[in-house]
Amino acid sequence: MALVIIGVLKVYFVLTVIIMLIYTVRHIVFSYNRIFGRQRMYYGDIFDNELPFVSVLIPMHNEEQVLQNVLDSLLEINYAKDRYEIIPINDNSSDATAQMLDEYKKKYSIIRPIHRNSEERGKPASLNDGMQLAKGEIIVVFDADYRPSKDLLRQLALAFLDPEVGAVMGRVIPYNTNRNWLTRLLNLERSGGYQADQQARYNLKTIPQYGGTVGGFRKSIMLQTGGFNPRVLAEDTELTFRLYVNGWKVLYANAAECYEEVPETWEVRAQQVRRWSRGHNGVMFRYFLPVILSKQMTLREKLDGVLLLAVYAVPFIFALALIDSVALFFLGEMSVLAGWWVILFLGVYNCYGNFAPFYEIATALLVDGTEDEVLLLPLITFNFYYYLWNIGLGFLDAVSDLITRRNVEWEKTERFENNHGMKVEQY
Amino acid sequence: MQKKTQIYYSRSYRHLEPNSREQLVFLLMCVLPCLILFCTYYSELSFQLAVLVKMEISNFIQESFLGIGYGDFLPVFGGVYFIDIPSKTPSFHEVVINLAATLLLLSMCFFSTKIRKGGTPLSIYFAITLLIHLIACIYFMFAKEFYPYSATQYSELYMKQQVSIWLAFIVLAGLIIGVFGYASLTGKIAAFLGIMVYSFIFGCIRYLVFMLIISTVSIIYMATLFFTLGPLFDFIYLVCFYGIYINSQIKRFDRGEGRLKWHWL
Repeated sequence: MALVIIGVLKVYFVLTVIIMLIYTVRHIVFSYNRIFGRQRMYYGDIFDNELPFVSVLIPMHNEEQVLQNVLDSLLEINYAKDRYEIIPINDNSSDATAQMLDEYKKKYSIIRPIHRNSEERGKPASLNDGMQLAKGEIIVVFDADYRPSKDLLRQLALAFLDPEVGAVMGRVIPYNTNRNWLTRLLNLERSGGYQADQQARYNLKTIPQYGGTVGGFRKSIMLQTGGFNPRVLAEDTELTFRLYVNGWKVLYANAAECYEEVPETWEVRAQQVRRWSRGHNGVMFRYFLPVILSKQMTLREKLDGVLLLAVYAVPFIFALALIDSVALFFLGEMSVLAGWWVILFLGVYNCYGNFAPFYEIATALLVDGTEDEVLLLPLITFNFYYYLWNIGLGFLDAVSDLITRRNVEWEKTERFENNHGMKVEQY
Repeated sequence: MQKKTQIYYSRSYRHLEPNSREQLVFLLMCVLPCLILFCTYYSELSFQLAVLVKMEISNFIQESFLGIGYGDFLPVFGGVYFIDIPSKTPSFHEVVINLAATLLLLSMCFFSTKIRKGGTPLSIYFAITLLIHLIACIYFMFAKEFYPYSATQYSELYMKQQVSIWLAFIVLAGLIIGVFGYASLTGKIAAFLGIMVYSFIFGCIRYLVFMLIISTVSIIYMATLFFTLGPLFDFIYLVCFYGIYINSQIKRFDRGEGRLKWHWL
């Protein structure tokens, strides 16, 4: 019996290393493609008078601190004023959000807020209501703390002139990077995730992910397929895979920049990644088989799709492997091969800044020309344990959701009061 | 119809041209020879390291209690030498103190994690370190005679891990610098050799310190030293060196002639 247990522990150990190696190869390919490969251009060169009508939806729950930033930015945007509308969706707010939105409505006819007092709270339910009111076929979603650049709407809308495109995602850039160490590290992660990872996936025609904000999708596709599922926390990931499984594409627009407020405390960041993990893993349980069995996806999309779906399960797998290796050590079974693998999986997975390895982040910073921030990379090493814990908990939450079929309750990310007056200079 | 008078290229799509020949030359003429040399001579290296460590530890422990052992490692390339040291088994008193201190520190970590929900990177790292040490304390409290490693066995295990780290680093650092390094060939060689020299010195000093702790303080710290103060710190300095190297490249490519290297389509 003891031999069986030790055998199982060793096999699990080796399997984990194989999984780590697969992800390492994936990220090396992405990094190499981003820095040395010919980049797949977006539709930026299209100049067309007939841009589609766009409905901008902004779900809001208690956003009095930040909502004027996103609304003011959208009012200044370079898009014909008769070709877009702004629909803020006040979702059961208890602060001054409703009053502030009504003030905007009085001043600007382009702003048409919805006030929800439904028991069914959360972003998916809000978006479903927003889509019912929206005049446009193209829906662009922003979170309330985002600040779109002047050219953003045009950049996002252009993609929908391609009939294959189901959704498009822009690039998210933190604007409160200089607050503290956490915000600076999150800036590194964002750079790696967007400038390197997303762009490489776009280049290689795998699966760039729609991120739920700073992105757009076709309303008709969502309505035909039942709208957003209020039981799903990661409605963005769910949309991505829903589109691909049904033969649509998601594009990534690297030059379509939008500015966001990243968490400024570890507590808020922990809640955020745990929620992302819970939602993403929930989508993994729903879409793992449909992705593999889909007749609409290419082999490359399926391969990357499976790896992308499992990405938030990997920290949990790795945490078990860490426990596994400790068990093997105390059982006196830490042979030379097992020792070697310890180093290998620590090496390949270490310094992962939320799935962007250090060389991928460095690639992004080189392309962006961001000096000196790359010197912070060693600090991301310890973030690895932090993500192991919080993302692992999110995975367990998702498993519990699957088993108990409980309803998810939405919690939004805390905003930071001292940023609401911060200006973002655009050139 | 409006005409475009200017085509707008941003940094969004810029990229470099790979110098595949130079990458290959670096990998084949620098990394591969280092790998072959290391595989050929790691036995001798481990012997010299064991002798050096024995010399240093003999300042604390009588030399007659020390020796040099040999253990099998990679099949074709031979085994490794390691220092043969006496085990300093913790007394019951020491185990109790360790256990109490670990539990106290753990409760502080969990308390701070509860206060700051989700914890912080350092608190979680310390909690994991303490949990591993807690297991060791419980082992020595209730099953001391079943503890699987003597100091000598640990010395062998650690030497094998250290040699494995050096081997892994030659490959990792070589690949990362070779593929994702953007300097000239001499710059890449300098960065690679710098990392390896530092890794070698760091590894030797760490082996000495760890063996000193195991033989003069207590073997209760074996697991903690193995798991939490081991390869993690190797990767921290690898990333440190890489960060400094890449930062110099970022500056080079954003100033002067470096800017001409970018391709915009």
